[in-house]
Amino acid sequence: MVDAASLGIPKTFDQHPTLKPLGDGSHLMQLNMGPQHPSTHGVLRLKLQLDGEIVHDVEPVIGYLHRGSEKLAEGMNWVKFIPLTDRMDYLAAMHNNHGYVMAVEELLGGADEQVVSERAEYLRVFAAEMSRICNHLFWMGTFFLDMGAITPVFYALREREEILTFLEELCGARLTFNYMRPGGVKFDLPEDATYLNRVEAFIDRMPAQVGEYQKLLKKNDIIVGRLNGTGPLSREQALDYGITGPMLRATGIAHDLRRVAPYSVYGQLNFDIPVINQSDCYGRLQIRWAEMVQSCKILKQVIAKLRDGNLDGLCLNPNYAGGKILRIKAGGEAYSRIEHPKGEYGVHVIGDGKLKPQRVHVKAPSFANLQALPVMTRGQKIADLIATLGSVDIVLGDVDR
Amino acid sequence: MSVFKGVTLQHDVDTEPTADGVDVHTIHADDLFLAARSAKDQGYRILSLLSASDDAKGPMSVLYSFVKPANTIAEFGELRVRVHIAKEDEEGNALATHCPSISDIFPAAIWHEREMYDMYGITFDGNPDMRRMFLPEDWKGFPMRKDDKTPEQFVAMQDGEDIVLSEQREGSW
Repeated sequence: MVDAASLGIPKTFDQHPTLKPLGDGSHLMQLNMGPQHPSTHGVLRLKLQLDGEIVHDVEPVIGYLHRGSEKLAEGMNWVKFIPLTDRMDYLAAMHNNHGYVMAVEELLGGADEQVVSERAEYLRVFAAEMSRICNHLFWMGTFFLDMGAITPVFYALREREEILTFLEELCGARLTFNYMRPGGVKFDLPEDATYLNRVEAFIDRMPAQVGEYQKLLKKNDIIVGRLNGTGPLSREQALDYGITGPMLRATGIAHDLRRVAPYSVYGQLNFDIPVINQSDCYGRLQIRWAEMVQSCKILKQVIAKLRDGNLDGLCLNPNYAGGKILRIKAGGEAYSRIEHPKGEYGVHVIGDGKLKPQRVHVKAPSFANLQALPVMTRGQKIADLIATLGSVDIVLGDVDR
Repeated sequence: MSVFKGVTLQHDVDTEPTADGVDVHTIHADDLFLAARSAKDQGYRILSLLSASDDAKGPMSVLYSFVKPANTIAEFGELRVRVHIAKEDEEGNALATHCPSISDIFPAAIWHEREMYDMYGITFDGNPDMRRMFLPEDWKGFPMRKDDKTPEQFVAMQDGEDIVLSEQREGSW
């Protein structure tokens, strides 16, 4: 068998160096952090090896929230899995819906038949971008909360509340939306004629709110001191560890699937991809602020399209409406990927032409990004570990699935 | 012209498209390491997917997807590779399922391979950390395999004694 040793390739890394005694006869201290620790945003356990305040090594231990979603998927109809995707990353559940239904549609439609109407695609983008702002807001609030700043979370939740109210009017739920279906979306816009006007008024105001956060936080001496240079990750390391999303864009690569592999109607929309060449906590914060503003730009165009009324089609393909949706039979294999607020979210589905899937695998961005935590934190102080963990933006439901 | 530029594979490559239009190159497991190195050398730097699947009758398979980091549509590219892993030999005897690890080339694969080991019992030779990812260390069996049986009862420890949490119900899987 050909392997690294036979080709003379050196081992590229050492994932878990053994506990080495220090020179003067002392040892590193092992410290357990979590699984119930407020800054881990769920149930993440970190095994730390410390030399005083310096982190020598971190080993994330996960699985405390593992619910076996992929196994459950094999026992239910194709469409019944959608509510379970909501419960993976519960802060950006719309994107989980979107990734899964796109994968199922690949199996259903083929290239020649249009499964999803243009109107439904715009509704999906509308919901997804609202969800993206929501995710970044909540991330910002809790990120600063981890570092002891209480005020930002109030600012963030104030705006998030408005978005959740809009999404609730759209689909009846605030967190676990269960909104998208193979073939479209479950509900059209609310009948309330002022809905789009109210959303647009909020979207117009949102960039100024981001400006307010920046005014409060961007040049704050404590924030800059805590975040600048904390949790560094080189471009090579980011690529080696399969990092995607805002963390990759902070290393200077504008790799955003909405732009480089357009899905849904993103190819027709005009927006920028924020990139920065500062791969630390401060850079990641800048990226996410800028992404919120860009999402507003996208939403503005989407609302104009939806209001126009010229979009063809029903919001749900009649072939999959009503009870027919439970009788979806799909065969074949597909892998679809979308740009989740946290990174690349992929769904790999295999069907054998029956009512139930044979295999559903979810490639979760939090899971992939968390793996690089040891690389970012070795040699840093333990307080910086908290900031770095926050900057990764993980949700444990997404890590463990 | 092989898509695996710069390396010579020892076995044939079988190429067929998936439902979403991307070709999957099925290669022999012995060639996997060379194929992964070729993918990385060609710029497919991001390990996007590592997903095993189990067909009740045929062999297990592992699907890899490598992606080019890109700034524009033109720079983007994807390479999908599949490896089959036999579960039984020609006489029907169960085999230990092994697959070469690509973690020396793509460190991102370490956790993904651990996940697949946890769920499917595929041992990835060369992975430096081949332990369970999600399930407890003393879990028996590999739950995503089609021949895995749901335990007849779930047992937990309370005050130092084993107690039965739930009996298996009719109709679960």
